[in-house]
Amino acid sequence: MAKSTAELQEMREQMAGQMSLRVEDKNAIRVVVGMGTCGIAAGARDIMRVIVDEVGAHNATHVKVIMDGNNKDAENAPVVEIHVLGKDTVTYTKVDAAKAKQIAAEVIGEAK
Amino acid sequence: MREISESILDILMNSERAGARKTELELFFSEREDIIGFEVRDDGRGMSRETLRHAADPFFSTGGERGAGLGLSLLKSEAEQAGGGMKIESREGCGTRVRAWYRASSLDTPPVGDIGLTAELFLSGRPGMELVFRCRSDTLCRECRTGAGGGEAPDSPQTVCQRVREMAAEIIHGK
Repeated sequence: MAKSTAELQEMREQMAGQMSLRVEDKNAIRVVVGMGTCGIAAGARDIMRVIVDEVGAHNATHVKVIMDGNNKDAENAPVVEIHVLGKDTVTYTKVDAAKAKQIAAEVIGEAK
Repeated sequence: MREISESILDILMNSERAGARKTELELFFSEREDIIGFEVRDDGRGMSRETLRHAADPFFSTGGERGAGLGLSLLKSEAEQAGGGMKIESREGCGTRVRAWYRASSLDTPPVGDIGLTAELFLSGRPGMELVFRCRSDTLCRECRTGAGGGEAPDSPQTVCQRVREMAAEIIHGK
């Protein structure tokens, strides 16, 4: 369908906005906490809380903390994965509150 | 699970995986009937009759490699161990209702725990999710909600989480 110049300009601006969002998302460090049944039973909810609090306290907007309802490595739960674009995923297993704090500190340091 | 609120989070995660946009959570406690428990009702994709028949079987999962198939079976066995039970109702395309109850005086009944944290984590990163939280006891019934919908103006997620904590304490400890 033919578009006017104004419409095309509007589309271009909209797409540019979406692209920049995507670039920002790509650059974000994603901290994924396994919250399947085994994860929750092993204390993943409290681990999630520790990491969310640390990231919030440091205002680390480039760090996204995500809950994953799938069961990953159930026998080693709680599991925390760090996803950084262009790098291998790092997986921490049997995470406790102290380890969670340490992981958050490392991730926040990397995000600066 | 160490706390009932952890079991609740597990069931809420099921609702999310089922594509629910609205979830209703009720916490109930009756001193008179010696019962404590919860009900989660969602508008997700629901289950077929065949899936529903096996939903509480250990290691039965529709999530392929993603799920161990232990959530509902664990909840059922924990509730039965504490003199209670679990019931699931579901209709494909309409949603699912999971109700679990425990004998309040049983030593095997876990503490309710931090239900506010459960609500907080469930709502974080899900701006489109509507959560209705209801607390019911022999003498009280309280409700709060987040997200769109309902006759009254919705509360913010932060307000809801705080209210959830207060309401749970109110019905359990009679504060």
